[in-house]
Parts: sequence; structure tokens; C-alpha cells
Amino acid sequence: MRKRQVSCQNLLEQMQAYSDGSLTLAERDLFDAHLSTCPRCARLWHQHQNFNTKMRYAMQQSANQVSLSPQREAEIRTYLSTIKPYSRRRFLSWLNINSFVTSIAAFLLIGIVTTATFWPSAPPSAKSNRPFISYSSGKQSEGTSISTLRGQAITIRFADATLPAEHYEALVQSFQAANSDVTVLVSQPSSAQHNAGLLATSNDCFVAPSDIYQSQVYKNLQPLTRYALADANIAVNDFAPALLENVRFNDQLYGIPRSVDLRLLFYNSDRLKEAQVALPAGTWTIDEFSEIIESVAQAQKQPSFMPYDGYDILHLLTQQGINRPKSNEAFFINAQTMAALNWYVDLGEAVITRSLYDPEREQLYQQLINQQELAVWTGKPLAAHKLTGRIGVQALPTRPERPSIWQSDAYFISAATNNQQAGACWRWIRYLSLQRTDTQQIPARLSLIQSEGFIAQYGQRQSDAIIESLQLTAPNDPWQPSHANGLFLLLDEVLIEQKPIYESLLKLQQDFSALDAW
Amino acid sequence: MEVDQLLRRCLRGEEAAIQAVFDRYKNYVLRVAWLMLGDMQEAEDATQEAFESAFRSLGSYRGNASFETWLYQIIINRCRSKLRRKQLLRIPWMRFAEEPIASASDQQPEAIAIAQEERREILNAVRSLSPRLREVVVLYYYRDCSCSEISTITGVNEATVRVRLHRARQQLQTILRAHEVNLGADVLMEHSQS
Repeated sequence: MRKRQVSCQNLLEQMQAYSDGSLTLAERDLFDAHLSTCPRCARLWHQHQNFNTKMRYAMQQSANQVSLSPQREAEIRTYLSTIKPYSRRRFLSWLNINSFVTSIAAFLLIGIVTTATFWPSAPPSAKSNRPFISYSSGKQSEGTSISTLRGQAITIRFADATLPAEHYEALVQSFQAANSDVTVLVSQPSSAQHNAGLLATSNDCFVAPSDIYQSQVYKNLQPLTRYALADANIAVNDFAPALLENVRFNDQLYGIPRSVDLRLLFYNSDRLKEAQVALPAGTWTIDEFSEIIESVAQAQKQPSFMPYDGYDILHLLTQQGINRPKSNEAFFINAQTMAALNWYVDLGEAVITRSLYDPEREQLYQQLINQQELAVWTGKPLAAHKLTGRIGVQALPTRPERPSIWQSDAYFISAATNNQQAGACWRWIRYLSLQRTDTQQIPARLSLIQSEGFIAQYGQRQSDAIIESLQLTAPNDPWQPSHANGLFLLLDEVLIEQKPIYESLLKLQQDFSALDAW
Repeated sequence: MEVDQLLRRCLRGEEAAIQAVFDRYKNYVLRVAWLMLGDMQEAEDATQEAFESAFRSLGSYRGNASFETWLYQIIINRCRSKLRRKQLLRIPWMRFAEEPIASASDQQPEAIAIAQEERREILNAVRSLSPRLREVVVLYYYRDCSCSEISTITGVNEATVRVRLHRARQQLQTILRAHEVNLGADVLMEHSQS
């Protein structure tokens, strides 16, 4: 029988697995046997081990010199002493210890439940404790009036940090024409105040990111369940479950989803077809897609760039053969490197340097933009349909729970707002919620995303992809490059609106002027 | 004392046990955060947040993975979250220039001796990796985690961990060569060309 052998290529591929000890005994034997007969592989294996040893040593040596400052350590200790770990087992162990009491309680409980169940005239509970609205149920209570004390003058303060106050002028007029008892004062807080906790302290109702779990923000908010259940105009099942989940806590609804900032993946379908690679499907992970993109790019010997973060551009530059200077300082005064890095990182994250806004670099920016041709992904899909027809679009999963602030926002009512104002606030946010004009992002309502108007404007493919994306969930979230939004802002303006790059950059510079403190 | 025993005492609210667990893991957690973030202040913040989060949700620790692995999951998530904030995208690797000076007692055998300057270059190179590659490198080289453990901590499958590790090595080698640091790993380049 012919003995199996490992090729040099196989051996290279197995080096990592060998180092990890994850090869089978037979595989290890083959690996060792090859090494003993192939001097080249033996040398490479030695280098591999040498690299690992030096890396390990360098990192451990450096890290081991780091420790908490005594002052900080004392602070943390003091802080930890205030924490009471939560244990689900505590109650169970109490039951074990108090078995006699538990038995009596269980006996009584069974008796009560049995009596209640078979009692002939037991009325249905007026307030059901069922979980609030499931997406598929399509049921909702109707009939109860949610208007309060109509006829009295009510003033409500409404804040939205994402759209300018002027945006609401016409909306307020139209609303007040039908709700003459309500005066709406709209304000636009600074971005630093764009936080539900802060907004709730000085406004009656507002738009904010829907991360109500964060820092127990929900304590500053009114539960809206009773309004939603009573309002025939609010079909709560018109929102995807993931969006409702964001604004629900302890089975109470605290907000009405307004818009969603989800991720769609856009890719160059021509390039993938040319390479005879299957187009992405919903079952793919972003890692798999990334691997495919890279292999296609290598096979076609063309640059590709999958924006993930500012660091990837360094890799791109390496691929492009741009030499890196030898010291850290020089690294940042290399014009090409610095411009490219700043171009990418600044647009998304508004940092680093103003030298970015140099018209002489326009050509370089254009060159870099042209390199984004294989794949981009973005939280701003509305404009992407205007790219050429060769751009494919694929839904990406949303996170199943407690998404980050970038993902969706909602209308909330402050806990401090009195009942009378809260009823007026509800009428106002319901009015806004039913309109697409209230958001420049993807509306949270499924019916609006599927509406003829939306499809006419943005295309069926995007509508389908957005709906699909809202239904998909993924256990982990490696999908969130926040600065891809910034990248896409520029692509929008330059590629779609045909604005000169310099002009777009100047505008961004103005937008970022708030960061002058840097 | 065994970790399980300590954790049970923590769940009963024993402060001494909480402090003991903190003592046992504080340095590992801090150093992972420091390697990921490159900034001591941020690393200390992340450490505090990670321990707070760990102790608050200790009841949800099921023991499927080791406690240390669970703790690394938390600190890596904290670091990811911090890295998403714009402040840390601002030339972060320059901060490694502030690496503490090694004392004479830290000197190691000649065989693997690496000059401080070289170590700094290595840290800078690690810091210039994208966060997803960096976290794999930190866990693999600093904490000696296996690919399987890294898979559990980072939530990506094991094959992806291997790919990332390989890619990280290639990038490290490219960067280090440009800085005239040679870790003697032509194998990485040969592999990429083959």
C-alpha cells in the first residue's frame, strides 16, 4: 500500500494547526516525516516557530510591565465592594433550605389556581400580563380614547437631535390644524445631548437612539404600552420584532420606533460573475464574504478594499506597494500614507488633522475612491441604488437584541411629563410616526418600506433587502464599521451628486468644526 | 482556593471573594485591554467596566467555558466598544512609545533576547493591525490561548480564527520588515505567494 505523504504546500497550511496541537496523531506523523526529508520545509518550520517565540516573548514581556496604578486599583476595589452579584440560583437555594415552607406555599398555590380555574363566574382579567404585541399576531386593542382633556391649551416640548428644527415647521402647522389644543415647541439639542437620559430631563417627548437598556435610561421614560394598545392608528405589528425589542423592557413598550440604520452589503456583481463566484446569499457571514472578495481580487490582480476600519487602509497601501517609512514619526509625515489614512479615518470619525482639506490631493482621493469598486457596505442604503446597475445588494442580519445606538431610534415620552401633556405627546408622535417625511433614514414601519412611494424612489431590490435584513438576526455582531457611514457620505456626494471632492470635503470640515476642541 | 469555590462565594455576596477574584485576574484583564487599546487610561477604564459587568452578571456564567475565557469575552467586548469610538482611532499606536522602561531584572536569556526598541516596534505593528486581527494576536501570543479558546472568546468560528491569525502574521511581517525588524519568518511570505 502506498504511503500517504504531505506536500510542501500542505505542510505550510498545517503549520498553524501543528503549533496548536490540533492535528491528529497520524497527521503529526506525516508532518514530521515530511520535515525530516525536506530541508526547505524544515527551515520554514523553524522560522515559523522562531517567529511565534519572538512574538510571544515580546508581547508578554511588554505587557507584564503594565499594572494598575495604586490609586486606580483602590478606586476599583471600593467600587466592586458596592456590587451585589445577581444570582438566579439564590431563590432556588432558598427554596431548598426552606423545604417545609415551600411545600405549604406550593400546596396553597395549587389550591388557589385550581379554584380560580374552575370558578364558574371568574371574570377575565381586565389587564392581561401577556407579553406586549408579537409581530405575527396582528392583534391590537382598539377603542379607548387616548386624547386627554381636549379643549385645554397644552404645550409640549419636542426635541430631535437628528433633524433640524426647521424640518418640523410644516409638520407642526399641519398637526396643529387638526389638534388646536396642542402647541408643539420643537428644538434641536446639540449632538452632545443626543442621549435619551439627557433629553428626557428637559423635554416632554423626543427622538433618541433606542438603546433604552443603556444606563437604565428607561427610568426616565414613560411606558407607552397603554397608549399603543388603545390607539387604533398605531399598528404595532407594523414594526419588525427586532425594532420593538429595542424599546421594550420588562414587557413594557417605552418608545415607538422611528427609523432604522441597518446594514446592507453592496457589491460589484460584474466582478464576482467574471470570477465565476456565486453571488452572496443570506447564509453567508461577513467573514466568508471578505475571504471571497480577497481571493477574487487576487485572482484578477486588481485592488479591492472592503472597508472595515481605518486600519484596513494601511493594508491596502501595503498591497499597492506604497512604501512605509521606517519610524513612527516618519510614518505620519509620509504624504501619501497620511493623506490616505486621514481621508479614510477622518471622514468617518472626524479626527486627526486638517491637512486633509488640501485641493492638491484631490487626485489621490479620486484614485482611492475608484479603488472601492469591489465591495462596500454601509448603513445608508437609500442612496446606493443610484450607483450603477452592476451593484448587487444583500441584506445583512440585524443584531437580535440590545443593538448599538447606530442601529435605530425612536420617539419617547419623558417620565416627568404629566398625564395631560403625555396624551398630547402621544398624538404628536403618532402623527409623525405615520409619515415618511419625518425621517431622512429608512423608516421603521414595514408598511412604509413596502409602500409604492418608497419602491418608486429607491427600488424594489432595496425594499426587499431592507425587509429581509430586519427579519434576519445573527448571534454575534462583527458587522458594525461605524465609519463606513462617513465613507459613504463622501461616496454619495462625489459619485452620485457629482459634487467636486474638494467641496464635499469642505462641507465635512464645517460639519466637524464642533470638534475644534481637539 | 479553587475558582469555582470563589465564584460561589461571590454569588453569596462575600466581598472578600470578589476582591480575591479581582486580585487573581486583574493583571491579565488589564494587560489584554492595554494591548488592545494602547492607552493606559482607557485600559484601566475597560478593566473596571469588565469587572463590574462580570460581577453583576455572574449569575449568568454557566461554566461552559473557563471563567478566565468568559472574562476575556467581556474585556474583548469592552475593547471593541471603545475602539469604535472615534477617540481611539486617532493615531493610537504612537502611544506605545510610552511603554514602561524595562528594569535590569527583566533581561532574558540571549536566545530569545529582543531589544526594547524591537519590542516597541512589534507592539506598534500589532497596534496597527485592524481590531479583529489584533484581538486574535493578543489572545494567541500574550495569553497563549488556543485557536479554539479564541473562537469562544471572539465569537467567530475556529477556521476564521486560523485565517485571521495567518493574515495577521503576514501583515506583521510586512510592517516589521519595513521597520527593519526581522523575526526570521520568510515562511509567511512564501506561504502568501504559493
